[in-house]
Amino acid sequence: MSQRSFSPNKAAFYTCTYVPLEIIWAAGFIPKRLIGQTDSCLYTDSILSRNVCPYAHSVLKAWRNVQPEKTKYLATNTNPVIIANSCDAMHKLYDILKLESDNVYLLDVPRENTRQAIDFFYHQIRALYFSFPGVEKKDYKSQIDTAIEIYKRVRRLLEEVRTFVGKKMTYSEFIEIKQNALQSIPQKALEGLAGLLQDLNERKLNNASQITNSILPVAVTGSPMTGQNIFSAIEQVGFDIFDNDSCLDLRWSVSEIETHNPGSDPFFDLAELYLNKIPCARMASRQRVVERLSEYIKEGDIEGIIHLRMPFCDLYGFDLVHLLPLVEKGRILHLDTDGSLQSLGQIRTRIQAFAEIILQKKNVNLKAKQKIKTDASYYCGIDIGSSTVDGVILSSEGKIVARSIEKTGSHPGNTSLRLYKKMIKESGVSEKAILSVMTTGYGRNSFPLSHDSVSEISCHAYGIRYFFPQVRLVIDIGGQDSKVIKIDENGIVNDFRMNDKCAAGTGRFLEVMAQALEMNINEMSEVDITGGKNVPISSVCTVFAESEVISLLGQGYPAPDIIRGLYQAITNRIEAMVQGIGLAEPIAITGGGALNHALVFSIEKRLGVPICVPDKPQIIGAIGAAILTMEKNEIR
Amino acid sequence: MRDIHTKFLDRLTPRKAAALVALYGVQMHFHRRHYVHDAVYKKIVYRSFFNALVLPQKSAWVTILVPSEMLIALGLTPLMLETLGGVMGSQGLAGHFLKNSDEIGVPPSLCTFHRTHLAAALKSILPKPRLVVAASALCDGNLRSLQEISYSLDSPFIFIDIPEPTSPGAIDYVRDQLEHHFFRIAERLKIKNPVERLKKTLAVSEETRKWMEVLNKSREKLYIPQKPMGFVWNLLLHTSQLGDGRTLRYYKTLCQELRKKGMEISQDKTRFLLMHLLPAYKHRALEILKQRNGVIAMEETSHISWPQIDLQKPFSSMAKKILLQPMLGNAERRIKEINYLCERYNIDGIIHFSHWGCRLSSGSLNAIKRYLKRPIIDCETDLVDPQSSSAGQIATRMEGFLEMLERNHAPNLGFG
Repeated sequence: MSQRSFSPNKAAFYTCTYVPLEIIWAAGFIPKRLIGQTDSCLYTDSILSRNVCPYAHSVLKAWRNVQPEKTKYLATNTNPVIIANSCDAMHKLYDILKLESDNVYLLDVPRENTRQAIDFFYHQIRALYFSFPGVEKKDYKSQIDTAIEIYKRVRRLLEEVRTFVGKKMTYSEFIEIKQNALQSIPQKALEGLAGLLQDLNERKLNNASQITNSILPVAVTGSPMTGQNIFSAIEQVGFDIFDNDSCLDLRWSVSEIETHNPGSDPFFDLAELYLNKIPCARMASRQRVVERLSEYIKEGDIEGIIHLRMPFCDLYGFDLVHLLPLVEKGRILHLDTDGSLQSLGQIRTRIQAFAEIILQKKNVNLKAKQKIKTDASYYCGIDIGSSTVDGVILSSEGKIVARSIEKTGSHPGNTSLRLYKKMIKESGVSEKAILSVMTTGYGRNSFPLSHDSVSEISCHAYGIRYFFPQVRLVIDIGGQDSKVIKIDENGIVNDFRMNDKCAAGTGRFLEVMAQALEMNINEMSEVDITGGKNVPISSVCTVFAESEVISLLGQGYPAPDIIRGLYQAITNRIEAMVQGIGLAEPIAITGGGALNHALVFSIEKRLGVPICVPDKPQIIGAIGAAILTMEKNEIR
Repeated sequence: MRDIHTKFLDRLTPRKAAALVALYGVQMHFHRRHYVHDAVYKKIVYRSFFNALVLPQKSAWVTILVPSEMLIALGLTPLMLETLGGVMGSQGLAGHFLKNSDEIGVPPSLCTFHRTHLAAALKSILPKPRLVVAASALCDGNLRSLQEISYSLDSPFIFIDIPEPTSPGAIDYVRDQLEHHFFRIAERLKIKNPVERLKKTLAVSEETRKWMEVLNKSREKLYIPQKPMGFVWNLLLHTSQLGDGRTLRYYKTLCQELRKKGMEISQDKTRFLLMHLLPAYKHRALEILKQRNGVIAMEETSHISWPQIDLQKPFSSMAKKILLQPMLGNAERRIKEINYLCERYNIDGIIHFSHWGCRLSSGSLNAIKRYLKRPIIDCETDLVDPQSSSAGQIATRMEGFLEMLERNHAPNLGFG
């Protein structure tokens, strides 16, 4: 690092939990972690490739936000930045910052914790310390010993605060406290944490249910997701975060720091301590951590594992490869997400479905609710999707007395209310006779008269049994997403896959392509695609596929051949999802996509298995919701 | 047709694969090749697959940068698993394994090289090898993918942690690891006089390096016409087969044959430097190059950047050789190296393929483009899966780039 004037109140930025905070503080700088906010991530791909994970992009953005001068392309920062060589993405981030600034340092962290690796890391930490401006060689031991002592106390207090999670504070709150404490001046963090602990001890033990439902302990693992929304979404469905094996929580702690013996070489001790903390996915000893998670399930400490997988964060992807054979199906949810707010709705659906699967396995009722006693009883299910709102009223004998489908429009709440009133009017059922209404779909929380809501995953699994009780695999091609759901003989979901936030493989994909071909979706489904040539559509992205379709039309390919190519593209996505959870027979198809016979035929041909198509495939979700609410009422 | 293909690959067992490879070997034996070096190259690649299938106890699966001299000295044949991905890609078999990789939880954003070989290895189309050795540098996927393979096949696993070349103590760290692992393997395989054997293979490796230098020297101003792809796939030899007499023979015969048969003078050709790798399958970029009288005059991967091997210090020499490999290290080093190659090989333009999921080469490319002394074109594509690459887009970019160079007012700015 270049020599600059020593400033004790200046921040030094770092990117990874393998960077010893003690070294930065002892060198006279306040350690501040460059934490990107993945939920507000904008790609900075004019500099960093798209092949690099969104987290690295968000860190680059965070670094640019703290710069004093924003006028330059990448202005030289006056604060030191320490980037750990933690993965290829961070190495590339270092490359970029180093080309623009002198004040960037690469800390080379070995991937093992052998004696040779500790020796090597010792040299790296030592070189890092002496590269700070103003650091003197003569008194370094006492400086570092003091820093070790103070951070030891901060971490101890944080551990104490953690014991209140689920009782007097939510996990999301704790993570925020931890982030603030480890980024402040340690003396101030100590004061703040001591005050907080006193406050927590004095605070009456609130009704636990106000903080969290605390009925389903889970472990969260995987890529770093810095947006608070994911943890809140996990807690809101009733999960209790028992263990968060991420670099925002457990890996930010070095509890073994207590073994440091003042008088010994502090660099060596720090090297040993940091390399022996809970390993992240880049470390050779990572498999042990993954195996420990699976043991938690076997021992009953947790009900499931939520694995977060960010695109291009392959290291955590390998955790899943190791974890899948070790954990019983249905006990692990892997969420492919870049942490952006746009995909939060889909993430919530998946987390809720995961909770439902676990609860069904535990045979626990979802919510207590008073039962209204009347002679004739009916149940209503409404599926509020991105494209249509579908409703069904079932009698207590299981007969469909009314059903209706409407375009969602821009006010899903109003549309669903209108549909509900219409069904009541058409069926002649009194509104009082409807004991319960359950909603599902993306807009499930927008219906004002809903008694309860449930994810579409469970609804499709239940709904399909109404028509085909023997079905074991449901393919749902909806407007906004497509899903593949595997169910057991009791209709309980064993496993499921959903497309990511990209629209490929969904009804929306077909709609956009129909527009490009200047026809409507119904006309498109009636086009005869037999014969002709195969025109493969290589792009899986709706936007690019649209321009590919236009380009193919320009090259003179006939529309039926292109349509066949589009069906093949959707079939490829569906096939990949089916392979992901394993083929099971018989198969049924639901959602608006099921109305397209040519598409169904294409999927049938590829999977080599006949597919059952229900009479009204769009209403399966609504039927499932009605059956679920009926079963819940009748159990009581 | 597609169904037959899928069914065949689904039912592929080590025994069936061995029979297929043996058949291919017979066909290869009777197939006369115009050049001896070409036949030698095919035999080396063939042998690593043959041993992996028929003599698995003599095979070690490795990643790039695992020093092959060390394994060859101990009687093992290295099979670089990336080669497996490349061969699958070139034969159009990658698609099947890419789909399988989703099933076992492999992240779809991982590069298709690793996804293909991981799925193929975990589906057990190859028998269990004697040893699995991974080196960490150049790709994040190396350690964890080979670790998973070794876990799933229950094969012994060895890991060589490669640090940043400029870090203090880097050479000592690598040297200590190599020494430790070498003696451990020798003991397990009960090899006598392992150091003597190592010195012998290192001598062969050094001799090969000299011939590689001769080849590179001859490429400075000339173009060797029988290799339209350039020598990019020689990477397989000098990263996983150095120390083997056949690799020495390949480079020796190549240089001798070039001398005998003469080389085409390439003054009228537009000379390109290839950064990183070409896709493993047939694609239009090379056709367009040929039509426009352009040639790949040099590859970044063919550059010999390591010094002479000191036989008295075998482990230090191997450590230095690893740490000085092209593409390793920071962007500054890479910029320097590319600019040096452009000068030395009389380069007119640079071609780069950003392969899906690969951060090594393309991660910071946009930032380093501005420091390169020749115009550069970047094409986004996929290493082994043609379905994920847009042929039309690549063709347009390549043609535009070549037209720009022909008009000879290329600004020194990256684009594309």
